[in-house]
Amino acid sequence: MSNILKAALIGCGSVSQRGVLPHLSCADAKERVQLVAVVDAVAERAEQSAAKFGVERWFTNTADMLTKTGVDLVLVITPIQYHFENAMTAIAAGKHVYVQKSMTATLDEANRLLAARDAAGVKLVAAPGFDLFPTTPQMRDVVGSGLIGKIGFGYTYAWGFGHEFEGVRSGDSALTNINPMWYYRKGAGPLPDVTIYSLQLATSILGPVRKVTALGNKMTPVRTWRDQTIEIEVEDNVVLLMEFASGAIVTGVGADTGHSKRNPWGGLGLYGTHGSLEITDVDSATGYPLAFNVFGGGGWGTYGRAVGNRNYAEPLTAQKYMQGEHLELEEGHLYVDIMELADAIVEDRAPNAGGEQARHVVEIIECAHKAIATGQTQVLTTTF
Amino acid sequence: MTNNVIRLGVVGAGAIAQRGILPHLSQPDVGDRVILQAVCDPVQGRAEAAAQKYGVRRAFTHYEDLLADGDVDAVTLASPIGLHFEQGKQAIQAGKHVHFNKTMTTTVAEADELIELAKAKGVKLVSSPGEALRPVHHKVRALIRDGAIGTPTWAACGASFGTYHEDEQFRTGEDVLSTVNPAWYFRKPGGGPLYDMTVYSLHVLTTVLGPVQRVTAMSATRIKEREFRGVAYPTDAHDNTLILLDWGDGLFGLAYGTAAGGVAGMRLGSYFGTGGAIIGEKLNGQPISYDGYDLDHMQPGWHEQQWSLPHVVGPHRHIEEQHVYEDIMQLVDWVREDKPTLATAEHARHVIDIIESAYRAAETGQTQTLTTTF
Repeated sequence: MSNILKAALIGCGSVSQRGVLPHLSCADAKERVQLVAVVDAVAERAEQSAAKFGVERWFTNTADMLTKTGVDLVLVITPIQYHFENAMTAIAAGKHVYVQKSMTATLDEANRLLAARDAAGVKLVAAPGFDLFPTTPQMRDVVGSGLIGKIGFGYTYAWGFGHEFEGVRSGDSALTNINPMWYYRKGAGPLPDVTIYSLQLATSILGPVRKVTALGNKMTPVRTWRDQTIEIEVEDNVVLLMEFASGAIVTGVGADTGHSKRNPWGGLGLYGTHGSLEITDVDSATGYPLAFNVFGGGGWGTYGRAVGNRNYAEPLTAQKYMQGEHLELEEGHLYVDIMELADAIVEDRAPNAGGEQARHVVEIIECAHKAIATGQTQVLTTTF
Repeated sequence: MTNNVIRLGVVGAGAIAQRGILPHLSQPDVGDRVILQAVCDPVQGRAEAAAQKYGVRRAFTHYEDLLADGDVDAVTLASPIGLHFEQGKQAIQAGKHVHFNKTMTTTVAEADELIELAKAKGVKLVSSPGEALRPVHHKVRALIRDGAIGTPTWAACGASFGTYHEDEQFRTGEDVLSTVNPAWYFRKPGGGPLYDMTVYSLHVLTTVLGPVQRVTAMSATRIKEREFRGVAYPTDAHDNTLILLDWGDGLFGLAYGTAAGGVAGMRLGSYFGTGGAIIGEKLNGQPISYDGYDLDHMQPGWHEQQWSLPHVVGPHRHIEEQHVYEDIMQLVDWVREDKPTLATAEHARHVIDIIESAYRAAETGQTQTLTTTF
């Protein structure tokens, strides 16, 4: 295998138009991953995407593409409900797979997907891989070092949900009239769309969760896009509560509400017996935490004094792939995840941002929805 | 050693053990190289409390019991400085490798005896502070050697006591682990800012400029009484010492260990020459780049050039006293892999010679010629 990998992109919707296609069109990306085919169920959209971004071939069907094109890896960027089917088709053809968040709509799908991955001996990366930005291992090290003591409680914060008003949905061409209604159907909703960033980040720092409970309701029960209306199938106002295996109890939120002036989107706060850790700045394009503060005091009295008041910060360019043109484009974290998969393939090693953590997060989301439906706290079955 | 893992005994469960040694060595990532086998402390209940908190296998009240029954391969002496020589000697005689927290001993004669005894018994000694391990000092050394400040004329460094130890963590709490008494810092033998703080500066200056040939000094006890938790402690260790250093050929230096006030950094000296100056991390006002500069500058809080130390990775970057952990791991690597270290007992002995000779010069009024090198 040459060091330049051949890839196919499945799904030419919003994230592909705004993020994946522009990033992979950059000269430095083409030296690693060459996009040779795009697939979209809407033929015009596939054709126009191929033309606009200089991709050799276009298809309306994944299986068809796989039989007619020789690729090393497949990028699954479809609506969440179609991740499983497309990823399984790619793995069955022996391809490495990148799956946009969230990896699957259900835990059962995730289990089957990882089993298929292992049986086929291919590599899989699932977004979003916070570990690929250096503040995440730093925060994990701060917690692991015991500097702020045993973590009692914490919060994560990622507001917003709703896609009707994005630029790619308000035009007349096949590339700008992309239907967002799948976000409101079963298998989607704010948790796998938005809250997942918080869940990936929190589990990257604190490890696995053992119990989940949640409250949720429908704040905007009917959504309208152009001439279509839909009664939403998934709660769009959710607060969930996770108890980590370490004992830390942390909140997550998925709701289409207004923004905070003080708390950065994608932020998190952890509070331990000796002090606290709070994210103070998040890059809005990637969701990567750029800065965090560690502050001592309280808890066991004088013990927190050694913690002091420490500010940690990393520029976005601390990520080796976030350089040059990529800094100007949206959804940079997807590009980083894809490059991580490419590196793992070329170096023949296990990828970071692997599927086990993504499966655990899928289960957290599934358990939150079960808890909303039943009023019962759920015990998780997976770990990572 | 079992399975090539060093079984370490921690001697003293005071401030440095609790702030640095125990938290670092209880991290899971070092378990393949070193384990906390035993801890001892003469204060009733303190060793047991520390052992429980940090997962140390055995706790002892008596050091002799730790040596005899603790099943340790090596010890780190985290006791008052005045006890280091006797405790070090006992450990070496028992066939244990020894890490000395600074300062190794208070006299050259003691240092000589330990170094000879260690050779005879075939055990290894590592002495803190391992300033010679820091890349920044080697860069400064190379810059001066290559003429970056022209002909060097003089250098300065030093540190001040203030009330650092009275206010320190683990001394002002309520339980057995947080009521550690600092009074020994103000008493002979081993008290005073030279053995406690200026020792860093002297390791730095000698790493950069090499061994010193002569010293003279003035020295006294300026603060006659110190208060800790409402009790007044009379002081007899000198707390105000100014030392002049002579490297030969007219290159001089000033090192101080004072009760209060300072003009130079404890860890980064000032070097003056005919072509400019290196002050702290800057050459003529411009930052000096060195191996590990980026890592050191990622470190939040106090800027202590600790992240560039080779073992300071992962969780260790967020635990205090990273240089102490580094020095212990230098001993661990030396014993396990026969990798020698720059944190040598010989370098420590030379710095002890500077301090001991300075006190003698102050007492006699005679400039002293040093007898050691490294």
